[in-house]
Amino acid sequence: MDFRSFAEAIDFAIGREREAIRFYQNLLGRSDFAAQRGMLDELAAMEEGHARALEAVKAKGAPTWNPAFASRADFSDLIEDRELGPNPGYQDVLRAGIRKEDRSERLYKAFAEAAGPGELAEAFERLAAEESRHRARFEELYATDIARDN
Amino acid sequence: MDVKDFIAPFAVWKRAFEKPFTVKKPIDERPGAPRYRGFHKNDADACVGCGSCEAICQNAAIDLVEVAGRSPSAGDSGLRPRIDYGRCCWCALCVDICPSGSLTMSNEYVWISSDPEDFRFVPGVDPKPWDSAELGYKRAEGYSLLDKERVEMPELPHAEGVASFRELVKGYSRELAEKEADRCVECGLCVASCPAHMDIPGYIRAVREGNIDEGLRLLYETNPFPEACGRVCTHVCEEACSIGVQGDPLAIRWLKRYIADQVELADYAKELPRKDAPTGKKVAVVGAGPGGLAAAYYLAMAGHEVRVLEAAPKAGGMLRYGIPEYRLPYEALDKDIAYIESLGVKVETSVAVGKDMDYAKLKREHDAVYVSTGLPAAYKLDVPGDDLSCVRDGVEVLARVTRGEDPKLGKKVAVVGGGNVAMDCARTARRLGAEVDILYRRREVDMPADVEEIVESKAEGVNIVVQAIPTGLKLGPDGSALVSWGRARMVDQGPGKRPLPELMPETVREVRYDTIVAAIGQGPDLSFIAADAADGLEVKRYKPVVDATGRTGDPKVWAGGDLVNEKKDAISAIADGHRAALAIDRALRKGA
Amino acid sequence: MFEGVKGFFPPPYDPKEPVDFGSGKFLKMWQGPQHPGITGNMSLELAIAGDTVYDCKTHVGYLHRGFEKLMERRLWMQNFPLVCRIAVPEPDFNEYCYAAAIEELAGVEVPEKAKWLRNLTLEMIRLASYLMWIGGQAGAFGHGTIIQWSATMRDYVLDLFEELSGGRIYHMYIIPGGVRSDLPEGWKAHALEVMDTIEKNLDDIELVMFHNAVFKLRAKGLGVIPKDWIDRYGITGPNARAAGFRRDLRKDQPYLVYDKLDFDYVTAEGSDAYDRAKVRLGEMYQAIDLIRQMLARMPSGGEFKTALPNPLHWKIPAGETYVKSECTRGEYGFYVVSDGSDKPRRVVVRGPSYTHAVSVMETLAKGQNIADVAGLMVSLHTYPPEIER
Ligand SMILES: Cc1cc2nc3c(=O)[nH]c(=O)nc-3n(C[C@H](O)[C@H](O)[C@H](O)COP(=O)(O)OP(=O)(O)OC[C@H]3O[C@@H](n4cnc5c(N)ncnc54)[C@H](O)[C@@H]3O)c2cc1C
Ligand code: SF4
Repeated sequence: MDFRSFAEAIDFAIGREREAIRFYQNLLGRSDFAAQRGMLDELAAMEEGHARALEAVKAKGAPTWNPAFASRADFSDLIEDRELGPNPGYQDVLRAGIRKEDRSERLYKAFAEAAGPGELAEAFERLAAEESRHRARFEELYATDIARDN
Repeated sequence: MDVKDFIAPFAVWKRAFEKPFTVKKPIDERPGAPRYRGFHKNDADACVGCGSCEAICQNAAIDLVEVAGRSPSAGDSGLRPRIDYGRCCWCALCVDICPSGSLTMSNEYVWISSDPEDFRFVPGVDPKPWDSAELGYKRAEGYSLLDKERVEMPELPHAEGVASFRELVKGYSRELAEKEADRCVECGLCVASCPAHMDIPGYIRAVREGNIDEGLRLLYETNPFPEACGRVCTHVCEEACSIGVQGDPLAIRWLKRYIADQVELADYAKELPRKDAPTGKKVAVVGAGPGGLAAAYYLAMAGHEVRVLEAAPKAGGMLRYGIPEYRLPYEALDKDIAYIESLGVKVETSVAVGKDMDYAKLKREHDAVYVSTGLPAAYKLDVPGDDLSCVRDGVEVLARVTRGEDPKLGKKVAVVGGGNVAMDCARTARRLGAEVDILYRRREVDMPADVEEIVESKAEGVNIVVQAIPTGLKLGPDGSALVSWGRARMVDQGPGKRPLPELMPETVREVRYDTIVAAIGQGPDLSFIAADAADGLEVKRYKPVVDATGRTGDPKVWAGGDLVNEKKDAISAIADGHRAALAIDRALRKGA
Repeated sequence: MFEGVKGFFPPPYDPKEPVDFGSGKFLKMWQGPQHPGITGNMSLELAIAGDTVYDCKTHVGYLHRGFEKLMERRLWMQNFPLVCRIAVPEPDFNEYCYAAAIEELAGVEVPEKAKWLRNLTLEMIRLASYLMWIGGQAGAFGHGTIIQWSATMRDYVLDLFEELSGGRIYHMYIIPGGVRSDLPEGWKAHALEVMDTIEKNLDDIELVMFHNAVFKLRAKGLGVIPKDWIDRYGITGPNARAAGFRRDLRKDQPYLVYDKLDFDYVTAEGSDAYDRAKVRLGEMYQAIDLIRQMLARMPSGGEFKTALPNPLHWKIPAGETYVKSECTRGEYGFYVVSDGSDKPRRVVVRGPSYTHAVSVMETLAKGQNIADVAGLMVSLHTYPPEIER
C-alpha cells in the first residue's frame, strides 16, 4: 500500500474504520452475555464517529496531497491487526482498543504530513488527536482496571 | 529590747531609692516565659479533629465544631476544637494529650475585648495575633500522656515461618490485648474510614474492660467475618487512627482477632442475637466469598431463607482460595463460615451459576438475588508468549495450594506484579522451596502491596527486582521459561499520577526460570448473566452498574464485592453484602 | 501610773465572767469575712468588752468550692489541674499529695529525676508562701513596708515557676507519674541568682522586723501556745516547732529526696507570735539552702515522667491511702479512696488550718486585745481555703 493519491489513502482509512465497526458489531451479535455487550457497544460507537469524520474530510478533497511523502512513510505495522478472539474478556477488548487507536493515530498523523499545511492537515491532526485521547482513556482504564498490581 | 530595736527599723529607707520592680505597661512589655501557658494555638492543617482535647478537658471548655472550608475526610473529622475562655483554666492538658501535636499554647496573655463572645474561639481557624508566636507551652520532649508505641505482636521468626505454612502471627494474650486497647482515645475517626463502619472504639473498649461477649456482639453488628478480618483485613482504619499521626496506630485488626479468638464457636450462639421470625421470602446469593456470605448472614438474621450457590468445592471465596494459610488458617475461616451456616444459611458448593444452574431460573425461584462473584479471571501478562505452559496465574497457583495440590513451580520462580497477590504467590513459592524473584515494573514505593507484606517477603528471602519490564517469553529446550526483561526508567506523569515506567531497550536480557507466575490483576467473569436474562441489569466495562444500596438495573438483583467496588478487599465486600442485605430486606418487606 | 476613774473603765479581763449581751457590757464584733487582717475569707465573731476579747467564735463557709465532690466526677488525671486550686499560695503541696497518693494506689514508680524536681518545687513554694506570710505578719502589726519587699521577692520565685512550669500561681507541674518537664535552659543560674537576692532581702527583713521595738512589744508573749496543747489540738508545723517540738515530716518521715538533703529542725521555745515568726524566717533561709543543695546535686537529664496508662481510661486499683507532706503550716495530707474505677471514690484534703484557725484560734483569742487579733491569726499562719476545700 503506498497511498499515492489522497482518495486511495482516505478510502483505506474509512474502510478500516468501517471494518472495525463491522467487527465489533459482529462480535456483539455473537456475544451472549451482558457484560461484553456493554463494552463492545461503546467501541463500535467510537468507530462510527471516526468514520463519519473521515467522510467529511473526503468530501472536502485534497489539493495539496504529497504522494512522495505518503509513499515514503512505512505503514506496514499500521495495518497489521491482531484479531480479537472469539470470546474476548475485558483485557482483550481493552488491549485491542488501545492498539487500534494507536495505529489510527499514527496513520492520521502521517496523512496530516502528506496533506501539507492547510485545512486538510488540520482535519487529520484533529482526528489524530482524538484517537490519541481515546487511546489515553483506554490506557488509563487498562492501568486502573486490568494492571492494578502491575 | 535594746537600742538597736529602735534604730534598725530606719533601715527601710535604704530601699526607698531603689528601682521599682514593677513593669510600666504599656511602656515596658513583659512577655510570658518561653513555656508560658498562654492563649491556645492550633495548627489546623495538622489537627485531625479527634476530640481528645475535648475529652480530657475537665472544664468542658472545648467543643469540636464545624469550621468553614473543612470537610470530613479519611482520618480527619473536619471538626476543630473551639475553646471557651470563660471556662478554660490554662492547664494545658489538652496540649499534653493532643495526638497530632497540633494544639499548643502561645506565651501571650493579654487580650482585651468588650464582646464576651470573642473569648470563645477556634484556635488556628479564627485568626489571632498570637498565631505566629514562637514561644509558649508545648509538650516537653520525652513527655507524653499517650502511649505512642504499639504493643508488639508475637510472631514466628522468619526462618521458622518460611519453613511451613504455619500461621505467622500468634495473636495477643489477654494482657497484651488490654495494654494495646488502653492506647485508644475513642475518637472514632476509624469508624468513618472502615468500609463496614464497625464500632471500633466500642469493641476496643470491650477488650480493655475484659468484656469479650460485648465485643463479639459489636463485631457481628457489622461484620460476620471477625476471625478472617482480624487477620487479613487491609485495616484502612489504622491509617485513620489519630494515635498514628505521631505514633503507631492502634492494632485495630489484631484486637478484633483477639476478641474472636477468645470465644469458642459453640458459645457464639449464646452471645450473639437471635434471628428474626421467618418472613417466608427466599433469597439466592451467587458466590460464597466474604461478600456473599455477609449478605447471607444479615439476610438470615432478618428472617429470610437464604441459599448460597458456590462454584468452588468449599465456601470462602478468595479468603480460602487466594489468601495463603500462613496468613489466614483454614480453621479460623471455617469458624466464621460455620457460624453463618449455623443460622440455617444453605451453602451449595460445586454449583456454578451459568453452568450447573441457570441464572434466569435462579431469579424465577427467588424473591431476590445477590451477586458477589468476585474476580475469578486472572489477567494475562500481555507480552508475546504469555500463553505458554510455563506461565501460571497467581490466583490459580494459590488455589491449588489450598486444594492440597502441588502447583509444581520448580526451583526457580519469577512472580510478575507488585500487589498483595504477587507477595502471596512469592511467599507461597518460598514455602514450597523455590528461589523467587518478583519482577515489578515500577519502584518499590509504587507497589500496591502493603508495606508489611513487602517487608516480610524480603525477610523470607524473596528477591524483589524493581523497574523490571518483561518483554517476552520463550519456552526453553527443557520446558523452562526464558524471560526477556529490561530495565525501566520512570517518566513523570505530572502531579497526582503514578510515574510511568518506560523500557530502556538496551537493557533487555534473558533469564531462565522454571515457572513464571503472573500476578498483575484479576477480572470479573459475568458470562453467567446471559444477555436475554439481564432484565435491565446494565453492565459497564464488565461491571454491573449499581445504586448506593448495590441494586442493579434489574430490580430483583443486587451486586457487590470485588465485582463492583474499587477497594477490592474483604471488608469492602462484607460492607457491600451488609448494605445490600439491608436493602433487600427493606424491599422484600415493602413488597410483602 | 494613772489608774483611771474607778468604774469608768471596764474591769480587767475575767475569763470566768459569762458573756451576757443583755448586760450592756458586751459588744458583738465581726472580724471578717472581708477584714484585711484575716487571711482569706473566714470570719471571727468576737464578743468584746472594752477592747478585750471575751469570746471568739469562728465561721467558715464563705469559700466552699466543693473540690472534694468535684473530684469524684472527674477522671483521675483530670483532677490534676483541680487540686492545685485548693490552696492558692501553696498549690504544689496539693499537686504532690494527690500525685503521690494515686501513684501509691496504682503502684507507680516515679523516676529519680522527677523526685528531685518535685522536691525543688516544694521548697520553692515554701519560700514563696512564707514571703507572702511575712508581709501579712508585719502588716498586721502596722508595718507596711515589709509586704512591699516580700511580695517582690515572692514574685521573683513566681518568675522561676513561670519559666519552669508555664504558670505563676497554678503550676500544674507535678503530674501523676512525675513532672511535666525538665529544667529549662539557663534556669539553674537564674534560680541561684534569685536565691541570692532573696537571701539579702531576708537579711534586711530580719533587721527591720525582728529588731524592731514595735514588733517585739506586740508579738512577744502574744498567743502563747502551751506545750500540752500541741498533741491535744493536733498542732503541727512551725506552730509546734516554735513550742520546742522537733517535729517535721520532712525529717520524721522523709519523702521525695529529703533524706538526701542536709538540714535540721528549726525550733524555738517561746511559742509566742514572735517565736513562730522566727521559726518561719529560719525556714525561709533553710528553703534557700535546700534549693541550693538540690540544684547542686540533682541529676542532670534523665527521665522525668513514667509512662502511665491512657489518662482517658486509667483505672486505679481499689484501695485507700493517706499521703502527707510538710507544708508551711504543718501536716498537709490527702486521703484518697479508689473503688477501682476511673474516678476517685472519695478524696479528703487535710489541711493544718482546721486546727489552727478554728480550735486554737478560738481559744487563744480570749483575753486578747482586739488590736492583736489579726496579728495573732496571722501568727498561726492559717489558711481558710484548706479548711473548706
Ligand atoms: C491472593 C489474594 C490475597 C488477598 N489478600 C487479601 C487481604 O490480605 N486482605 C483483604 O482484605 N483482601 C484480600 N484479598 C481480596 C479479598 O480476598 C477479596 O476482596 C474478597 O474475597 C472479595 O470477596 P467477594 O465476596 O467479593 O468475592 P470472592 O471472595 O472472590 O468470592 C466470590 C465467590 O464467587 C464464586 N463464584 C464466581 N462465579 C461464580 C458462579 N458463576 N457461580 C457460583 N459461584 C461463583 C467464586 O468461586 C468465589 O468463591 C486477597 C485476594 C487475593 C486473590
Ligand atoms: S487548657 Fe485545660 S482548661 Fe483550657 S481548654 Fe485546655 S484542657 Fe481545658
